[in-house]
Amino acid sequence: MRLTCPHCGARALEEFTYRGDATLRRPAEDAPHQAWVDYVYLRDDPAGYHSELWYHGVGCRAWLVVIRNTLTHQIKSVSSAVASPAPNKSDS
Amino acid sequence: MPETLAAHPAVTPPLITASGLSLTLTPTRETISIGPFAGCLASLNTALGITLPETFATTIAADGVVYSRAAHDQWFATAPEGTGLMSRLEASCMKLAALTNQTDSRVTLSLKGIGARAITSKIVPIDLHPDFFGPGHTALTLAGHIPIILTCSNADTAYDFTVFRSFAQSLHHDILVAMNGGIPNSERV
Amino acid sequence: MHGILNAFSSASQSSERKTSRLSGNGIDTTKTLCFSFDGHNYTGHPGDTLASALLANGVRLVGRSFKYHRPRGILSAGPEEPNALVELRGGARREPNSRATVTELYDGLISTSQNRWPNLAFDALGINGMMSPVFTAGFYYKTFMWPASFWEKFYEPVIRRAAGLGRAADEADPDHYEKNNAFCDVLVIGSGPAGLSSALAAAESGARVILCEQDSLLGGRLRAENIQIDNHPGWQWAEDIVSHLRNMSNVRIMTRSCVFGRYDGGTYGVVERVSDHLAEPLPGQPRQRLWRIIAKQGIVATGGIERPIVFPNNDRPGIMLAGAVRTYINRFGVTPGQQAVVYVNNDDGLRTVSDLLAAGARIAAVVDSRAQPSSQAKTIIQQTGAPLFFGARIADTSGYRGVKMAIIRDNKGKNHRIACDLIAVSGGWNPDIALTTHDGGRPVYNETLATFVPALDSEDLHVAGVAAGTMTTAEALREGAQVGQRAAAQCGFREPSTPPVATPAVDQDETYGVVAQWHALDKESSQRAGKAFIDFQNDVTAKDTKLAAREGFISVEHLKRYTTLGMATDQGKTANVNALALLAEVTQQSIPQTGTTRVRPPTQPVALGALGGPHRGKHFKPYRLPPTHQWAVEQGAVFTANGLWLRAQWYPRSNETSWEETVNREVKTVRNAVGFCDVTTLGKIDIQGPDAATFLERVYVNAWQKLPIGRARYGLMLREDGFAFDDGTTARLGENHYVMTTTTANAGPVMQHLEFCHQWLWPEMNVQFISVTDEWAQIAVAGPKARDVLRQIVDPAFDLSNEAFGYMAAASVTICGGQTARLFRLSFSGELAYELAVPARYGDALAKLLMRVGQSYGIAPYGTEALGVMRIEKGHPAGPELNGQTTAHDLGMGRILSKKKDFIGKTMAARPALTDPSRPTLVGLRPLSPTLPLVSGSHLLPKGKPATACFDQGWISSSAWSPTLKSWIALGFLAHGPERHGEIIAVHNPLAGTITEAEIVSPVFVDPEGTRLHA
Ligand SMILES: [Zn+2]
Repeated sequence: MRLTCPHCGARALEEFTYRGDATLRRPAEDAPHQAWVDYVYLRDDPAGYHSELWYHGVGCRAWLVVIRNTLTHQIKSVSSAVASPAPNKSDS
Repeated sequence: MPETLAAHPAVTPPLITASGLSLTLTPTRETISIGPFAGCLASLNTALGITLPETFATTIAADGVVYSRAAHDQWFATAPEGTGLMSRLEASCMKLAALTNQTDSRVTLSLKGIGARAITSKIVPIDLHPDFFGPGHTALTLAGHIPIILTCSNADTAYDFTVFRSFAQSLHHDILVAMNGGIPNSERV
Repeated sequence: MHGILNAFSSASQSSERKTSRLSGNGIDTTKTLCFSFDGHNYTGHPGDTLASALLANGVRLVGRSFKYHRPRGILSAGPEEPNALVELRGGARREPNSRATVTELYDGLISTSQNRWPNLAFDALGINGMMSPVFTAGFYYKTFMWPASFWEKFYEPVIRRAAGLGRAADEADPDHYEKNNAFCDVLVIGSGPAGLSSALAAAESGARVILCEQDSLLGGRLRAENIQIDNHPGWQWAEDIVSHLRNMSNVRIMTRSCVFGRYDGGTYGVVERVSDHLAEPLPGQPRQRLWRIIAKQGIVATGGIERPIVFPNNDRPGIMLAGAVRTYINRFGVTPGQQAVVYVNNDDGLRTVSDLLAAGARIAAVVDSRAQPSSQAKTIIQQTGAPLFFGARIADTSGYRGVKMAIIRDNKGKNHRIACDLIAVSGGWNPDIALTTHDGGRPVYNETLATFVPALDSEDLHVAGVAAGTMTTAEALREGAQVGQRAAAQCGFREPSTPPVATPAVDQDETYGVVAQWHALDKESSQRAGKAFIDFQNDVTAKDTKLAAREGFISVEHLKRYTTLGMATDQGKTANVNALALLAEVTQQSIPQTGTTRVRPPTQPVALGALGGPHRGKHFKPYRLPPTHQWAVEQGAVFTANGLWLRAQWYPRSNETSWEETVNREVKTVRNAVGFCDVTTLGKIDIQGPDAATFLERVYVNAWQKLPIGRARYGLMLREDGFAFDDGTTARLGENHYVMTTTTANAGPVMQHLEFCHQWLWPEMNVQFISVTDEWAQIAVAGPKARDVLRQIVDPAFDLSNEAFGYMAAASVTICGGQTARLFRLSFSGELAYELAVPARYGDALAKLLMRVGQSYGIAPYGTEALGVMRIEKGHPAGPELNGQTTAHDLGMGRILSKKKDFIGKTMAARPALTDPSRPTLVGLRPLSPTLPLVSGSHLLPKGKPATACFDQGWISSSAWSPTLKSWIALGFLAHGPERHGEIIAVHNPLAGTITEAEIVSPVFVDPEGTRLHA
């Protein structure tokens, strides 16, 4: 699999580290316990497009939001996590 | 009277040749990382009197200083040792960016000779065709399993591998093995 | 003049026979090469494969089959070969299972047959053939069930002896392998008519083209067939195109290069056999080279693989694929037999008749399974006068070590016994579509072609020629050009500015006209279905398929696993479609209903050495060297791997007889005088920015806002699930400037974590990080005399006194008359200690300087082992304690968790289960008998209780002999640990089967008051 880093260009998988679901948002400190349990442990496993976090550790050291089809490895988009649109981070 | 400390080279031997190519440990350049603080990039450019390169692929040079991207929000400035780069940067942009000395963090191994591109291709997984990676182009990537900053100094015949100092000897070995393996036939595209 | 030896005498395999050869388009008969097979010497020519050379020498019997040890010969002329597997070379280069059909002959080649004992002609285990009922489908599952203990002692050794496939070398591979990366617009796989014309079209459009050919010669079937293109022999046309391509700067041609896999993102795996065709690689030359090719567009022009027809005793030496017979004649100048039966279900196979006649062989019979003779058949028969049986089949064969007779059943059911030494079989062609299925693509069945063709919906993959089901040369040439242009256009290249090369004319009427005949079994011959082979390499027969189906294994995936069909190293290339067809017949389904199994990479066997490349032995992973490495080598240090780092483990002296003696001496030196140790490997991260302190508060559990400039503090990081992640000290160097240290192991993960926190969780924070691990050579100087030593180095203007620079102080200093340095008063050992950092290039000189100025204080370097002993003596947790399963509470640090701020892991760390006092918590342990070792990993049990899981109360994480206490000591985790100091507990080491007793004590064994630390 290859990812096109918005900073570095198209690179092979070994340059990146996978983290997981990019739609999760860290709950507030005083959020209900269940919200924390969900955040830390509960993961969806969609068959199809999945928004996920990758780290370009040997390149620009940017965290990236990658929209990837888990069935075909088609990459719909790769964007910088810092610059990625707000809904992923600031709702709930 | 205290004695001064002698510098120790990061790799031995500092010059080696194989298959008609040379691999050289290049002289150290003073290297400072510049990490602009939030919202300071424009003032920083003004203070430096340049525009820090936007792409990772290209470097710019001004007043003997070469600027390149170091990370998604950082740049490197390099200059020959003894030219007081850190002092100059501190004077102009202390409040605008994190300045960190990186002079000893990395060393540069220079591979030169006919077929340098072919040898580099054995260990670097990016497209080195001169149309995409010509003189002055740079990339943060891997050489085998070792993170490097690769710079093309002459299309097809000269590539610089900038590597963390602790990895330098290991990379030196890997490049030498690639050199010894020779240039693959039909090496053209 | 054909001069091939009479194949009837071939089984005697006498050595040193002269051969004279026909001309072949791929061999150079002006030069002679010597080789041996099973100890007999033969000769061949450059361009020969081992298979063609053996056939030229009249050798037909080349191996024994896997299960039944049946005599086998050469079936094919390509990589699909299931039978002719040999051991090549010898010694450390011995290589089993080499396909003779793709092994290029070199002078001095040594080969031996496999899977026979005591020799090929007489095989004692051929008796397996009589035991064949035992070896039928599912035999692994049925035969060796009872008793279980027999498996290891009896069944497995016997099966391995009887059914082994060659012997691997006993020594390490002496050859070198390397890797390479390449990029292109269009990758063309295969250099037959379709491949060449697509490469040409793409290249003429301006695209960067790589043409990969697994063979040593380009041209594909054009070298195998007697065919004219533009009034030239096809192979000459191919050579013209190749020389044209070679002159184009945007084309790279790779021969001996097998594209074995297609992966996501246009990534292809290719193995180039750089020097397999030589006795040994040239100096420096790799044996093989693994290429990763990234192509925007791929064109699969891999041609086809001919199908055998399944008939009783269809596996005898001398029964070959018809296309292979033509290859041996046209390319290699070898006629594989003198008296041939040609058995086909299509027109293409009939070409064999004229090729054989032209090579001087006699046609004993042509058997065409089609009910009516095709016009092609009629023409050929008229021209050649060969006897034609149409609507016929081969009912059986005879000849033990090579075929001697075919029994032909004509369309009236009458048998004809025809003497022959060669049966050329064509059951039609299967497109070689493996590469089109690696990404999950499923082929579709084409009734007209009676085979599976690719069904592509991919934008970056194309198929042309026989691989696409395009069966004639003329059409393949046309299709190749179209596809090549289309692929280039997808990459943004317009129509070529020069007019496209006109499709060349093929001066021959080509027809295919296949009518499926998968097998020749009828009521009578089906009794011999147990000898009608489908999968030659794994010895799977028509009977096995039927049996499997009868036993319920009617899914094709089950059939495959139950019978092992298609699971040999040839992946069933010649077997799979026939097997499907037979299964469909047995289950009374159509072939599409039966489905296909999934083909996975690699398409051909790939040596592990090629996949490993240069990364083997001590270069399996890269290594990192601390700045004092060279110096430590000169000191005779012993090294240990700490992650990627090589670190000095201890520094033995010539009078020391054991490592324990050395380590004890090093510990005593630090405790009584002064020692130093390179601690550069700890991760160091420079942190700057107005929000730096706030950021540290978020990532560490403890408070940071009030840390003064010039001070350092211990910090503990948790993961978000509340468990400990890493620890270290962070020093404040300026108003908004900190330098963090991490453990050696977690330097990378902590950096990644900080970047995640900053970029994803709190991008609003104004903070910057960069690693300075490699920037500074950091050396710990520890022991009561540490300050005295440093006074010799640090420039006098700096006040080193305890009052001015106390425990946990940090400062930028100068040493040696102005050299920039950083000084930290940190202690891992518990002694008065400093860490002195200088720019990395000076680390080596600093070590030498410390040795000189410290000499009068009794200084000595110490390694990681002494470091470990002293941190256990001082009760500092390290890797074995921070093992990912322990909490701050477990580590005795529950109290440093701040309640006044949010930090990573805070909420989850507060879960009751994570602070439960019954959780194993950090304690120290001392054995009641001081010299009795405590071993890490041992379990802690209440005294007197049985060593069972329900009494398990904890474990030992680290242990060492303490020269300071003259006792073994240990750190461990114990339920209610802190309340149990003074209790005697049982220590169970299940590996040694021992139970000893130990006292629970404070984890701080040395200087619990910290007097030495603060001295
Ligand atoms: Zn990147």
